[in-house]
Amino acid sequence: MTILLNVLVCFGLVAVGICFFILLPTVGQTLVGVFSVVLGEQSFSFLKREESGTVVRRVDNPPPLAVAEAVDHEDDHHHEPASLQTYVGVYGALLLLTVATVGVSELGMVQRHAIFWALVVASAKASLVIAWFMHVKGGPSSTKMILSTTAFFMIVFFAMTMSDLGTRTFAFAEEGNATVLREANREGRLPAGWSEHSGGPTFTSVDVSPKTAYVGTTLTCSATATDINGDITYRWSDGTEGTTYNVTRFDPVGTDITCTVSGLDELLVEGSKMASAKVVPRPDPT
Amino acid sequence: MGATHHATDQPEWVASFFESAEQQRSAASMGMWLFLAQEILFFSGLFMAYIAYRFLYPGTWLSGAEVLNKWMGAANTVVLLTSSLTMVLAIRDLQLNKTASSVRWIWATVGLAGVFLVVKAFEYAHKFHMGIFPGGHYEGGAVEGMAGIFFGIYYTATGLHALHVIIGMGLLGWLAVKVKNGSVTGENDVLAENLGLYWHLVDLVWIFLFPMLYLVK
Amino acid sequence: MSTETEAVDAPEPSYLAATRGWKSWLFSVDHKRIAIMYLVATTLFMIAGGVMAGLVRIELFTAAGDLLDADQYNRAFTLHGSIMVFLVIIPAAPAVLGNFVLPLMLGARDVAFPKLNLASFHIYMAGAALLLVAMVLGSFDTGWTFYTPYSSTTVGPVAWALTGVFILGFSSILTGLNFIVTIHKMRPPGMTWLRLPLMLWSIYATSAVQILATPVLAITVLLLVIERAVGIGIFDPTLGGDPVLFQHFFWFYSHPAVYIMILPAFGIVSEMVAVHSQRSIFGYKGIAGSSLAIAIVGSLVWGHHMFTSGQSIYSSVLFSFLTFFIAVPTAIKVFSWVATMYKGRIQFTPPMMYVFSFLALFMIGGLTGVVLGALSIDVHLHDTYYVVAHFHYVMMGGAILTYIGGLHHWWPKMFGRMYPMRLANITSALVFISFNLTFLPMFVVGSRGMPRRYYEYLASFESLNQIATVGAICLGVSLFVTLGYLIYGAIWGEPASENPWNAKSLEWQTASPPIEHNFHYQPVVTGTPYDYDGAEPGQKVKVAEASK
Repeated sequence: MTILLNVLVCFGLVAVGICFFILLPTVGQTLVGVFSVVLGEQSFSFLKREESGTVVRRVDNPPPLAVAEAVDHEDDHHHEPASLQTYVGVYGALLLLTVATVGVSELGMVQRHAIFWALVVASAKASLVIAWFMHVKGGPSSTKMILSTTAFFMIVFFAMTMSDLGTRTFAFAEEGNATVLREANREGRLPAGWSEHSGGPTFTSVDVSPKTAYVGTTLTCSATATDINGDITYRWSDGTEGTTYNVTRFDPVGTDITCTVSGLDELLVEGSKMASAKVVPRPDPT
Repeated sequence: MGATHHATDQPEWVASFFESAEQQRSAASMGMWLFLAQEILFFSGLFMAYIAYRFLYPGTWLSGAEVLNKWMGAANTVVLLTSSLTMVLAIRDLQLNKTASSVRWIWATVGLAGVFLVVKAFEYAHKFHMGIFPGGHYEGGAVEGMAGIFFGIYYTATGLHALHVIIGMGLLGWLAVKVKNGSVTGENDVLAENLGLYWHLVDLVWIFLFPMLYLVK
Repeated sequence: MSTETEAVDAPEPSYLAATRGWKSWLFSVDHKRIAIMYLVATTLFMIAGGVMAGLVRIELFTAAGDLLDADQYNRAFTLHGSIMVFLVIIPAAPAVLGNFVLPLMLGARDVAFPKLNLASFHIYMAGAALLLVAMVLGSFDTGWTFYTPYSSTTVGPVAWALTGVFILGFSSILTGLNFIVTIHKMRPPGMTWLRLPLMLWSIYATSAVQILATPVLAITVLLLVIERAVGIGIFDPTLGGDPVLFQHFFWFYSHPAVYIMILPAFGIVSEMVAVHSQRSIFGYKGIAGSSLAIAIVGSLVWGHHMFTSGQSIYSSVLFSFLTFFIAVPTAIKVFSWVATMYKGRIQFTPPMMYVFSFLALFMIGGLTGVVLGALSIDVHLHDTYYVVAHFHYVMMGGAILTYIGGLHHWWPKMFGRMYPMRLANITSALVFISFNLTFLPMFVVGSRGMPRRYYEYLASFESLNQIATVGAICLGVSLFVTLGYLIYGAIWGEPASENPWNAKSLEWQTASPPIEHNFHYQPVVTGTPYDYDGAEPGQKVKVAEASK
C-alpha cells in the first residue's frame, strides 16, 4: 500500500510540477471559459470577437477576405528563434540533472525514496524540454490546453486503475497475486532484501483473558504484531470471528477455547499465533 | 476551382483552402500537438503496466534493475539530450536562413540517433547472451521473482521507443533533403518545427524510461 | 478576392459532377466525396454485421442449438459485435455525417488537412480488410472485447483482428485530430464559439475523446499481439500477469468509445429537433457544455464493466458512484430537446420521426443504464440479456437510428434530391415498432437470468425469444426498405431546393448538392444558427458586394 501511495504521489507531483511550470495560466483560462459558458457570455466578453447577435460587419463594407477573423490570432505569430545561449543553457541544465539523477541512484536509498527523487528529476528535465525546446513557454495557449488535458487523462488512467490494484489484493487476499507471491516465496525466488519479511507478520503477544471461564463469561482476545499489513483477524475455536467470545452451556467443562490471530505482511504472506482459556465448572454462588 | 482562389499575394506553398500562411502554420502546429497528445497516451499504457507490476512485485524490480547497465542507459540519455539540442539548433539556423548549417545540424541529429540505437543494440545483445528474454522465455536466472514480466515491459517499452527513434531518423533524413533543395525554408518551416516536436517527444519518453527502468534503487 | 465575379456568372458544377472516373473518387481530397465513400463502406459493413445479427437471432428462435453449432455461434456474435462497433458505429456518424457537414456548417472550404482526411479513409479500409481476413481465416471467437486470458491463448486468427483494430484506431484518431483543428482554425469571420451549431460542439467533444482514449486501445491491442506472438506475460496469470489489468486497459478506451458513438447522435438530434420544430434550440449553452461534460465524466467510469471481474470492491463502489453522474448532463440534453419542441411548429417529416423515436428509445436505454450502473443490481444482471437489451437501445436505437435520421435530414443536401417522404414516414414507424419488438423482450428474459453469448437456453425463455427474432426480421426488412428508397431518392428523386427544411445554419445556404469548394463567397456569420423566433434570418452567407 505504501508503495502504491508513493507511486501515486510521484505522479501527482509530476503533474503538479508541470502545471505550475507552464500550465497555470491555461487552467485559469479554461476555468473562466467554462464559467462563461455556464454563467453567460456577457460576463466574459473575451471569448468572442464581437457582441452576440449583432452584425459583425456591414455587408456593403466587406472585410479583407484574406484575413480569417475568427481564427485564434494569438496562435498565429511566427515566434522568433531563441538565443543560442538559452538553448545551450537549457542543454547544460539537462546534463547536470542527468548527472544528479545517476548520482542519487548511487547513494543506495530505500527503493521508494529512490524512485521519488528519480521521478522528480525526470519531471524537471521534461519541463525544461517542454518549455524551451518545444517552445511551449510563450507559445499559444492551445498547446498548453492540449498538454493539460492529456496529463489529466493520463493521471485518471493511472490513479483509477491503481485504485483497483491497490485495494484488490486485500479484499481477495486468497487469490491471484498474493498466491503468486506466496509461491515465489516458497520457492525461495524472492530477492535477498525481501526474504526477511517472508515469514508473515510477527505476533509479539497474544493473550486471552480471563484464563479460566465458565458459562456466562466473556472472553477477550488481544494481540500485537509487527510488520503487519492491514488488520489482525481473530478466530475462535468454534469458527466465529471477533475479539470477544461468550462462553455458553455448549462449551463442555475441561475444553480449551482457542483464539487464533492471523494477518498478512507486506508481501501478503500470512502468519498466525494462538492462545487459549480453559472452561471450568461454574463456581458456587455462595 | 473558380470562386475560391486564394488571394494572389500568398506564397505558392499556402494551400488553396487556407486564407493565409499564418492560418496554415497554426493549423499544422496544432495538429502536431494533438498527434503528440495521442503519442503520450499511447506510451501511458506501458507506464501503466510498469506502475501496476512494480506495485505487485517490488522485489523483482529491485533485482531486475541490477541487471541493466546503468552507465549505458546514462550514456544514451546524454546522446538523446544532445540530439535534442542539435535539433533546436537546426531549426534556429533554418529560421535565420542559414540553410547549409541547418542541414548539418539535422544530419548531426540523425547521427546521434544512430549512436543511440547502436548502444541499445549492444545492451540487447548482452542481455540475449545472458539468456534474458521477455516473459515465459526468460532463462537468465540472475533475477529473482517475476523476471519475465519485468523484462517483458523492458523490451516492449524500449523497443517501441527505439521504433520511434528509427521512424524519426527517416523523417529527419527526409527533412534534410527538403531543406537542402529549398522546399522547406525559413519562411515555410512548419514541417521542420513539427518534426522537431516529434523528436523532442522521443527524447521526453526516454527521460522517463531511463530512471524508471535503470535507476530503481 | 476579385475572382469571385466570374464564378457568379457561370454556375459551378456540384461536387458530384465536378470530376469523373473512379480515381477522382478514390483519391479525392474533397471532404464531401470522402464522406460519400465512408457512407458506402459503412453501409456495406452494416449489412454484413446485420446478417451476422440475423444468424444469431435465427439460432435463438428455438431453445435448442440447431442451426449453428457452438463454435459457429461464437463466431457469429463476435463478428456481429466487432463489425458493428469498429467498422460501423464508431466511424458512421463522425466520418460520414461529420465529414460531410462539418466544413459546410462551419463555413469553411474543406477540413484543415484534406490529404490526412483521405489517408484516414484509406487506413480505415486497410484495417477493415484485416478484420475481414480474420473473419475468413477461421475461428475468431473472442467477442469484440478480446478478454484475456482467452484471447491470448485461443487458436485462430485473433492477431489479424487485433492488427485490424489497431489500424482502425489510427483512422479514428486522425479523423478526430482533423476535426478539432478544423473547428479551431477554419472558422470564418463572425463564427464565434457560441455561434457554432450544436452538431459541431458534439463532434468536437467526440474528437477529443477519440484522440485521448483511442491510443490506449492501440497500446492494449499491441500488447496483446506481442503477448500472443512472444508471450511477454503482461496479461498471463501463469507468469504473474494480471488479466484484469487488460480489462482496465480495454475499457479505458471502450467506455469512452460508447460516447464516441452516442455524442454525434446528440449533435444530430440537436440540429434536427430545432429545424423540424422551426424553433430556436432551448438551452444552447447547456447542450454544448453537457457534450464536453459527458466527454470528461464518461472517461472516469470505465470500471463499471468490471464489477464481477474480480475488481476490488472499493474500486467498484467508486466507479458505480461516478457512473450515476453521467445521467446529469445527458438529462440536461433530453430536457432541452423536449423544451425545444414545446410550442414549436413541429413538422412531421422523416427526420422528426427519427427524433421522436430517438427520444423514446434513448430514454429507455439511458435509464436502464443507470440501473446497470448500480453496483448491487449489476452483480445480478451482469452478462445477461438485460445488458444486451440496454446497449442495443443506446447503440442501435440511440446512435444508429439517429444516424439514419441524420441521413434523412442531410440527404437532400448530399445528393440534391428528395426521397419519397410518405414512404419514409411509414418506414420510420415500422423501424421503431420492430426495434421494440426485438429488444424489449430481452429486458424481460435478461432480468429472469438468461445469460448472453450462449447458443442454447432454457425452454421457458422460448416464446419471448421468438418474439425478438420475429422483430429482428421485421427490423431488417424495414431497414432494407429504408436503404432502397434512399438510393432511389438519390438517383431518381425530385430535385431538392437549396434549403428544403427552412433551416438557418450555413450548410443550407449553398447549392444542393454543394459546389466543390462549398461556398461561392466567404461566409460572414452574423447570428446564431437557430434563430427561428426572432426577426434575424439566422446565419447568412453574406455576398461580398463591394468586390463584385
